[in-house]
Amino acid sequence: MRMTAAIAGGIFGLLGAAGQAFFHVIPPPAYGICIACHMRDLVNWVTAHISPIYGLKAGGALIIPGGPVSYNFPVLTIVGILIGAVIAAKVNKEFKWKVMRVWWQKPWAEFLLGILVMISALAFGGCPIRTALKAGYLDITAVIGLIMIGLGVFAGCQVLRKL
Amino acid sequence: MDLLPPIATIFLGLIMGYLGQRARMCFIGGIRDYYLVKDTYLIKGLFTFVVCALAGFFLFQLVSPAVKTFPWFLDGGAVFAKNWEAMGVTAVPSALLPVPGDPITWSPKVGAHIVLAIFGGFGLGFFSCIAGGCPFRQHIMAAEGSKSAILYLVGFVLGAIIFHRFVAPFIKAILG
Amino acid sequence: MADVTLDVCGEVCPLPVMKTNEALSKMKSGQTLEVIVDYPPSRENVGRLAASKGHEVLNISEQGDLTSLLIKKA
Repeated sequence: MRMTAAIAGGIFGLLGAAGQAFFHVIPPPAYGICIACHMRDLVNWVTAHISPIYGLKAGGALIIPGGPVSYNFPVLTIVGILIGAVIAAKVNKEFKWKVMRVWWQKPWAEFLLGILVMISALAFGGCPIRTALKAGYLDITAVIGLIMIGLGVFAGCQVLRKL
Repeated sequence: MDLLPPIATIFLGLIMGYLGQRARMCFIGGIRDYYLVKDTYLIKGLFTFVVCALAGFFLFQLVSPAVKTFPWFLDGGAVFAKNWEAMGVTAVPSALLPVPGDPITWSPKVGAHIVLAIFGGFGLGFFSCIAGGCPFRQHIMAAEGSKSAILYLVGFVLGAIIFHRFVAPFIKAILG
Repeated sequence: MADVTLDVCGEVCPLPVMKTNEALSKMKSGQTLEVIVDYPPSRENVGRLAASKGHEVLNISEQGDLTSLLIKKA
């Protein structure tokens, strides 16, 4: 059975719900999978635990008092995703060092876009995956958010056509 | 220290990374491909995700006590009351408040959340589309060896730091 | 020998599909288009695009990392 996006999407949906129900990824609700938030938590946890050792003051600025889950345990989803994808690429011989050709996907541009996407995602409260999870959790703001993401993609496509 | 989340999330991540790479999963790509060439392959993934998440929450509510605030709009607002007391704010919880994810979202004003959803959502869609995919897809491309995507990840980490140091107090000051 | 050749190596989705679509719409019916890709998802996307619009994929050949698809416009 070929692993299509539809089947993978279904599995991710169940995993996201299970993350909250069975794996204690809970305060905040609907937190099972999120790329932006878990990355932020990982960064938080790392700096909170490393900076006392090395006496770095900058770590203190990252810690959010009363912040979501990052005090007691790190959420290692990002690490798992990277390792899982590397394994999949190596197994299927699709691993190759490459640089994209078009100017707006060159490394420096992607670096800037990474910053912008993370800022938008945290302002919004989640990455697209978590927004879909929140919509499954029947949160009205998330549905508005999905529509706005759709409009943003339309605008992006118009810009892409001109480039 | 509760060890279940780290171990469980690393396994969740492993499964997601492997399946995502094989199935070419991308959430933004679904909307983009449908708009550009009417290709429905990826957007079916988005639909099945939402449907299975809904079904999952329904089923798991019967089995596990951790899912007690589902459906969110029915009693989700009450979760905020505790935090508002701690902040010294009195306000009435409403059904439109979003699921919290961030200390910014402890604000009681529904209007502030809607404004953030509009601007944040639009920015997210726009910048992700130009970058070539949603953050999940960029992680997978970085794992496939794309140097541009690896720099995207570095920017991602920096973005988190910039957000919490500079942008968050700014938003708090404007929207309260 | 193909009438039109399109080289999209080094580009990721959506560019190969977009450019293939544009090139196909400018061609006359019966002409062939050769698309050279080096990114596996692009290969699948272009193949699926051609099939869904009713164009025929005549040949898929691989040389090392590069894959070239020969599409005939319906």
